[in-house]
Amino acid sequence: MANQMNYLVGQGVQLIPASGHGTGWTAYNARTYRIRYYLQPSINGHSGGATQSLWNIGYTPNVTPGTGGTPGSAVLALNGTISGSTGSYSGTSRVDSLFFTSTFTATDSWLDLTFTQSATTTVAVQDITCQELPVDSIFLSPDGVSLSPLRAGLPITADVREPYYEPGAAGFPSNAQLSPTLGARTFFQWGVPYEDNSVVTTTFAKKTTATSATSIFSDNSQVPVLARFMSTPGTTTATITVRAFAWVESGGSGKVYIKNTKTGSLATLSVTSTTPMWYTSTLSIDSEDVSNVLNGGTQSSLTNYLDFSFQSTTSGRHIYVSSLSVTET
Amino acid sequence: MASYETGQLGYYAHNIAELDTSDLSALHTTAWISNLNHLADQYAQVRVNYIAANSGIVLNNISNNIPRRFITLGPFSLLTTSAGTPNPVRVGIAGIRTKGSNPLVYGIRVHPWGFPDYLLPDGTFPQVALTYVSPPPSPWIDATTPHIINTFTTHMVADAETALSPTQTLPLYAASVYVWTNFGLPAGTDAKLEGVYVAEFGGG
Repeated sequence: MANQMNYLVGQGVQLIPASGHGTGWTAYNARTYRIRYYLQPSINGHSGGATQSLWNIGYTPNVTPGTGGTPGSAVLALNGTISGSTGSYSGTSRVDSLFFTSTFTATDSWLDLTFTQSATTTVAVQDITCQELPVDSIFLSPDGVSLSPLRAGLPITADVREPYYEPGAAGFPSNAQLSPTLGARTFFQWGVPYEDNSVVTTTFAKKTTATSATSIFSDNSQVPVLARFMSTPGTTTATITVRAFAWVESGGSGKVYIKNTKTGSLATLSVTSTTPMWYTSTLSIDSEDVSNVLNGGTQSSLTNYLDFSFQSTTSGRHIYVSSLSVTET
Repeated sequence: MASYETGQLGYYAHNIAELDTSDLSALHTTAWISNLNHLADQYAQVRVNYIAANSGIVLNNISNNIPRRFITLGPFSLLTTSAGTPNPVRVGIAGIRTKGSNPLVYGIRVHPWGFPDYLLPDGTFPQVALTYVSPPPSPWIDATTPHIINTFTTHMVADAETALSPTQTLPLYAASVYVWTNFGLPAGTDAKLEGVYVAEFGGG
C-alpha cells in the first residue's frame, strides 16, 4: 500500500504551470527582483510532509541574441524567510534555463521568488515553472546531470497517512473520505517583479487608470481552465480560488475582475491598499468528464476560459497587478 | 464504487492482491481503495498555461517551409499510465496573423527537455498542427475543439517507480513543450503567439 501511495503522491504536481511574459521582462545587471507567488502544495494543509520543488527560469540574452547570457542566481523566500537553495547557470545557447530546488512546508502560502541578476549581464526572463517533487526525490544536479533513477514519493508513516482521510462520508468509518484539498490542481500562475532592489516597483506590473473594465493582458486575456474529475456522482463543477496580488496608487482604489467566459459568472476583487497584497475570491468552473476521451475530458464543446480585467475606481489613480493565481479550492 | 478503467486505475487493479489489510476493516479498505482510485484519476496536471502578457511573441516575414520557433516551455515530468506511457495531453494555442493573408500553421509538440531547438519538427516527437485561417471569435485557435497529443513514446518520461528509461544519450528526465510556425507559406507573413496551454488528461 505504501508503494501505491508513494506512486500517487510523488507525481510531480505542477505548482506553477509554465507561465510567461511574451518576449520576456528585462532583468538588468546587478539588480534583485522579487516576484510573489501563491502556491498550493499537493499535501496542502496536512502535517507530516514537506514539499521539495524544482524551479526553472527560462531566459534569453537580451543584448546579443545567440551569444548566451548569465542569469545570475535565484533564492526562494517563503513568507519572508529564506528556505530554499540558490541556483545559477551560465548559458551558452540562445535560450537557457536556471534550475534550482527548494524545500518548504506543505501549506498553501505566498512565496517570493527573489531573483538576483548577474552583475555583468542583462537577460530577458521568458518563462518560469515550478514542479513539486517529494522530499528525497531529487538527485544530483538538475542542470545537465541525469536524475536517473528518479524515485518519487513521500515515505508513508502514520502521521502522513492519517491526513488522507476526512471525516463525514456517509456509510464510511470516520476519517474515510479523501480530503478535497489533497492534490488540488493549479490552473494558472502569472507573476512579474513587484520589487526592484527591495523597493516596490510599478515598472513590470500591469497598470491602468481607466475607469471602465480593461483587459489586464494586452492581447489575449483568457486562459483555459478545467477542474479535476471528482468521483461524486452528479458532480460536474468545482470551486476554484482566484487571487490577484495588487495595489493602488495613493488615494486610489480599483477592482480586478475574473470572469468564467462560459457561464458569465464573475469574481470581483476590490483593491484598496497602497501596499501590494493578495486579494481573493472564488468561482465555479467545469470539472473534467474523463469518459469523454475524444473531447479531452471536457463536458461539452465549449471550454471554460477565465478572462482577466481590471479598472480604477478613482479617477486619475492607478491600479497595479503583478501576480495572478488560480487554484482549485 | 464506480469503476474507472482508464488512467492510472490499472496500476491499482493489478496490485490489490498485495494489500496488507490486517489492520483495516473491509469497509475501511474499500474506502481507501476508492480514495486511491479517486486520487489517481485526479492527478493529471496543467503543465503549461502561458499567456503572452506583453503583446505576444511576433515572428516576422515567415518564409515557405521554414519552421520558426516561438518558445520552449518547461521542463516538467509527465504522468504515466499503468503501461508506463504518458497520459494524453490537451493542447491549445492562442495566436493571430499580424501580416499577410495566407493560412498560418502553428505547431506544438512535446519532446524531451534538452532536445535542441534547431532540430525542427520532423515527426520524431508527437505534435499537433493548428491552422489559423481568419480571425476567430476567440484568440484561441479553433477554441471549440480540444486538441489531443496521445502518441507519446515511453522514453520521454520519468518512470516514477523504477528509473528513467532514456533511449537517447540526453538526460531525459523531463519533457518540454516546443511551439513553432510555419509550413508552406509565401514569405511576408507575420505571426504572433498569444497563449499556450498543455494539460494532462488522466482519462485517456
